[in-house]
Amino acid sequence: MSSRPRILRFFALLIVLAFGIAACTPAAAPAGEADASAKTKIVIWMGGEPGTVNTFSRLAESYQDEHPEVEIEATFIGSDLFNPTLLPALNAGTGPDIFATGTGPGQPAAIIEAGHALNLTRYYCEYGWNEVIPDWVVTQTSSDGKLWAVGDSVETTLFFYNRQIFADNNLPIPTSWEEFISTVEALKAAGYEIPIGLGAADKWPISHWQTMLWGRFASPEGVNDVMFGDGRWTEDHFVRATTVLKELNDAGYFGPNPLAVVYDDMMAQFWRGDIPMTFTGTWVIGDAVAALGEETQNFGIFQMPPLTPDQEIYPTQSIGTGWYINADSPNPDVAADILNYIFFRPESRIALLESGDTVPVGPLDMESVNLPSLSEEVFASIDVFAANGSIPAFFDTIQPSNMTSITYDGLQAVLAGQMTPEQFNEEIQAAWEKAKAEGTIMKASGAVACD
Amino acid sequence: METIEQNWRLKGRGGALSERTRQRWIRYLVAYLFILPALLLYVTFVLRPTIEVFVLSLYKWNGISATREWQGLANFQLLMTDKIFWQALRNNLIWLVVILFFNVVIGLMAAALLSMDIKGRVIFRLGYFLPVVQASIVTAMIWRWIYNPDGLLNNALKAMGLGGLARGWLGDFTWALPALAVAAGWAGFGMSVVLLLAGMQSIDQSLYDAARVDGANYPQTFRYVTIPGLRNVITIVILLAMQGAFQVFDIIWATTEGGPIRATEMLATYMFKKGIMENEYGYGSAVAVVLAIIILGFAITNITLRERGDE
Amino acid sequence: MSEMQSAAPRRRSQMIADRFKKAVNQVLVYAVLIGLLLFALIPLALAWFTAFKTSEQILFNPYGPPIPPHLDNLINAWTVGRFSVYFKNSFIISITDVMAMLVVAPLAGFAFGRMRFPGERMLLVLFLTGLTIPTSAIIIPLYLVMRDFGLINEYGSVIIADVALAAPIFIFIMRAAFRDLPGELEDAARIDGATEFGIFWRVMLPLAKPSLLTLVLLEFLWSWNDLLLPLVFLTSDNLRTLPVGMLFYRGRFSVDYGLMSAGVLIISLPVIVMFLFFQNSFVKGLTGGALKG
Repeated sequence: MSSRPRILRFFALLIVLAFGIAACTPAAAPAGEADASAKTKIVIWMGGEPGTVNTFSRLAESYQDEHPEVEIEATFIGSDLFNPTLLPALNAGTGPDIFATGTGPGQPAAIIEAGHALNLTRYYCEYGWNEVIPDWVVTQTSSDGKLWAVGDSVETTLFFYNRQIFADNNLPIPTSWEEFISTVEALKAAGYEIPIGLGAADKWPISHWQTMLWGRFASPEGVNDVMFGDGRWTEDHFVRATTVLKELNDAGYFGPNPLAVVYDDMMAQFWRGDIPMTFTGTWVIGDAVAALGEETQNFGIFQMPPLTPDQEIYPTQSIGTGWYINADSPNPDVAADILNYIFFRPESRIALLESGDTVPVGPLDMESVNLPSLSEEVFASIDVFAANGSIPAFFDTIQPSNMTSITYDGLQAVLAGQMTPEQFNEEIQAAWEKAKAEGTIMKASGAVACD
Repeated sequence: METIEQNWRLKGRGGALSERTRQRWIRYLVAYLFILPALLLYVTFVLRPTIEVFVLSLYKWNGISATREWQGLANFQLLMTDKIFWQALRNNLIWLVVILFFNVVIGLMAAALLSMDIKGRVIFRLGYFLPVVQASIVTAMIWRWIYNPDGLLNNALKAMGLGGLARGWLGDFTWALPALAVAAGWAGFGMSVVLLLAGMQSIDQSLYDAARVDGANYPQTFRYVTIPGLRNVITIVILLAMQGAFQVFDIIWATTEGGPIRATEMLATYMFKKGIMENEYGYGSAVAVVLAIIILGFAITNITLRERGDE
Repeated sequence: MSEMQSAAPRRRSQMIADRFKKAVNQVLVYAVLIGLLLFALIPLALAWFTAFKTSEQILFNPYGPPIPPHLDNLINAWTVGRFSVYFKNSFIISITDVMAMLVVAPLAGFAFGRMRFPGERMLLVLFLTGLTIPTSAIIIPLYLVMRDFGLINEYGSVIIADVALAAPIFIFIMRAAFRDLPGELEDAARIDGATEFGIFWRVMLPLAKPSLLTLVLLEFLWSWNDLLLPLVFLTSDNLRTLPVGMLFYRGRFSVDYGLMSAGVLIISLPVIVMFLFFQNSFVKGLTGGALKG
């Protein structure tokens, strides 16, 4: 090869470079806009398993029936892959018209600041949503006086228990910490390997415990102090709360291997009667009703009793999911109409309530509704304690995503004894400060005004 | 390639200079044309994104805003002090050790035994190779089921009276990683057996004959004839294992997602989490760059060793 | 390989001892091989058994064969689980992948293997580096490139990416295959005045059929089993492939083992059938590609 003139090598290099440059120029943007067909197509993305049929998808279908000129395509994406799929899609302009994701200060900040969420204030006022959505929900789904998302449900977390097992062992519904501990001890003695089910392998169930305990020990004011004020997660009451969680695990109340237990597996065992009780939320009711029907009456609920004598019972309350409209959607009005149909039409709200799938936000007309027994119990319980104030149900949906990983791994480490509660709270505080400094925490806004 | 050279020289002597040059350039053009489709695809969809990853690692970007913050090498500096990064690297190395055990030790043993006068060798080869053709998600699902606290492994241990060893494998901080690595070893050793067997067949028979004349028994023959003859293939097996061990993603993602407490965090999953799930695309790209450099290092070693071995 | 027999005469008892040792060796060898075979096959066999069991059978007979077998899980996975849709998508993508690779790789492999041209070595090295880039490392910019071409949520994105990423390996395989072919036929064709393409198409390609078969089998296998690319590029459920479908059902699969096993069976069956029929080609091609490169 050395006999070949150098010019050939140079020429070859040139060719490769030419290809490189050609390849680096992106093709002309496709001319595809919505074609002239009569149907307006609306794409909705929701978190969940593909092929899920829930009340939302059913309501979307009935909207389609009533509005034949609209075609709705609902896609379910697994929740841990939801944001990773959504963000590039929004960026690329190939995102859905409507998407359901997190709310609260942390998560959607990036989406909103990048301008991909449509300002819904106009629809909020015109459709009269302002008379239905409670203030606290508006606060978590808006900023700068603009509404960004429709909160789809109010979720609460509390204990679900198996009536039969409790009855068989003569166990009362605990109303004090001592009673709670003695109940769990009795269950353990009765041979239940896992007295309280905890799907720690999936990480987020532990954070539900953490959120509830932190709220209980700090009270709603204490929580707001940190979220919107100068408070710190390293204050005594928060550390004490983490320690309680660790102590519950050390006593074996979550079974010998909570980190190996997958949430879905644990819930299946619960509904089968192998696990006496678990701490989870209202989102399980819909599936339970669909799977067990009347048999859900064999299960009941109760609130975590006060952990110290001076504590109150604060029911937990968080928005389930926020529904956003893509700012780049070619049919925002249709999308808003669909949201109005699903969440604010009285018949829809009744359907959502009765399925047990969700508890829609806002005032509920309970009289004409035929609720699953579990839902009724939950409402009754909240009614009793609501006056005490409420605490968030889950931090992980309202905090920035870097905090979520630290929370998840840290909680597993605390349960495994690899991290002390003090260390955990310190890590959370450090991440919180970092997020605040970077502005990834959305500042809460006041109410959204309609003039 | 002598024939082609002779060809061209033949034609050269026969025709005029310009005719010969013209023919040559036509042949070059045709060659480039043949390569064109592959090259275009490769440059656009592999090379360009690779360069972009290197570029992106110098910025901070949340994946969605229109602007990117210049970081210089700050991401890499951060990486050096990142506990989780080093843990992930360590995990990849542990994975490598387990995979090497399966591919080299077990693979060699199986290949050695199979190369003896075995009836039904085809069945063995087939059986060992079946796990290799399974999708990684299938391997993950099956082994997750085996490792379930109530699954095959624990039940088998209990049945053998070893119930004390039973545990929640994938939730155990110490055992989750080796457990998953065993699953990957299961899915890979068959490939190694096949490669080694093929390599054995290409060893010169006369060497074996010489050994027999010298009075060597089987283990000695194996050590002094087979293994040296397999040197090339063993190198390839080792380097394939290295590449595979550092690219692991699917099987982790489908089972533990890096848990519990980062016990199974790999470089690829960390990159995915940090970059895509936490919207730190710049930092994630930095991890990707390190990953690519490590794998490139192994690949270069592969080529160099093989070139040297060919002599 | 049998023990060495020395030239010296052996006493009868020693011959019996030798034969005994040889038998024990045989038993040991087979024991190890069969043990390893069980290790390889039991996980798969159990999954396939479970696919045909009802939930009661799974509860009471978790590890034995399904007697009688039930098709419920398979039907469930195929219909309600939408595996029929995923199967169709996987099939379309994999077949197109193979066809595209059949166009791209042999041409380039022939050029590298039997033609001389400036920059040949450089281009070869260029393709070589592509072998080392893990897909997960470049997934983000790759996504953006696909967006620029408007291919997100289209089969094309996965097909093009699959071919682009796997092309280097097959180019090397084809190059090795063409290089090994005897030169006389090519010389004869040249003397007859055939064009380069003619030589490629009529002379070399037919001779390289074994490697082509390897290409088809391997590319189909890798495309069929791929997880990351279809996961990121195909967001609509109607376009999902089998591995992605399985990933999303992970939660349900940790509860419904019958369904999970049915899924495993559906996704594995085409590949296993293909492998059983073309075993030799698979093996020969893999080893040829890896050893010669």
